[in-house]
Amino acid sequence: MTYLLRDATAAIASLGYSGRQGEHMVVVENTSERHNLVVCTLCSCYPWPVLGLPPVWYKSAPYRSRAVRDPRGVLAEFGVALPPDVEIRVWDSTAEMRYLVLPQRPPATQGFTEEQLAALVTRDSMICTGLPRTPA
Amino acid sequence: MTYSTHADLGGKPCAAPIVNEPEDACFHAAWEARALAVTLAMGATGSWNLDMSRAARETLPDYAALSYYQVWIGALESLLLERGLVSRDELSRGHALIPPLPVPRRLAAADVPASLAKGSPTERPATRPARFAVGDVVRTRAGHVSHHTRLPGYATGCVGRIERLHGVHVFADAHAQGAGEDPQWLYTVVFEGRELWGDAAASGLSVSVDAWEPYLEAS
Repeated sequence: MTYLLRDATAAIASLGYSGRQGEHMVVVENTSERHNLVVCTLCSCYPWPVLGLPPVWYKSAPYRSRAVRDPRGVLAEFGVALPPDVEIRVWDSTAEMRYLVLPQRPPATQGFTEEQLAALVTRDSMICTGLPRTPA
Repeated sequence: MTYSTHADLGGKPCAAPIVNEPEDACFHAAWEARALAVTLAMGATGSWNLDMSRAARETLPDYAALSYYQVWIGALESLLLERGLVSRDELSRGHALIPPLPVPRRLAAADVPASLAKGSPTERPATRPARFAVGDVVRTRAGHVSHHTRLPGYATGCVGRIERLHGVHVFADAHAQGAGEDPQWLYTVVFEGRELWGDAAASGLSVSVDAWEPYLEAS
């Protein structure tokens, strides 16, 4: 995890994911104090090798216009309500750096295997319009 | 000539709802996948660069009325027409009428996976030290520029703090204008919400952009 946060491009490449629209990766970590949200207000920049092509809403005017100004309103549209004291940091992908959020580990997952944890991670939880699933 | 982008949407009023979709929804018509493929294939010929194609997209007069892949096709047609690689007659008839002009490169179908896996890194060797360091307070360029740029309107003339250095990268503004790569230091600059949106800013909000050095002045 420290490798991923320190040098995301190399860490992700070591797992076999690299290439177009993921040439320069940055991973940022969600915590109890901070929620990160990724947007590209100017076009549709998105880390293809790890998340695939961006969804239509990510490329749409409502998301691109409002994510930087009213992220809590945007999150509410995705059904995400954060505690009021959580800081929100929006990353506008304006150059060729591509951002991916490391979701916060859900509660009650101590002792989970990598596979069990991976099953909780959704695409939206890595852009950060969603939170990871909670264990059944 | 005045340059006008229609793609600089950050912070602009837009009341329309965000329409969520299942995670596996990607293309919504077969032509969309072809639009993506044709755009990438023509990009691979080296007839223009990525920043020129972004400039072509954002300056389409009817940008706001077009769907995403309509924007891509509109920009592709305009890039092809500008370079004489296709004529209006050919576009309307849907097939070639004269032998094609040569292009610098061709991407063969068999080479597509390797080409995608390689990508096009934009980092270049540093030839001078970075002007700013993490923690420095900077002000972004104010006002309009008459060319493609990657400094969003909402973040112009604003005071922020350098948070990360990303090395030296191809400078989009120069590259889009055909002025070469002109590599420049690239920084993540973070702004408090209040600096961008005034007293109405949501509490606890900060927003960052990635900004090349020419966008920044010491504050």
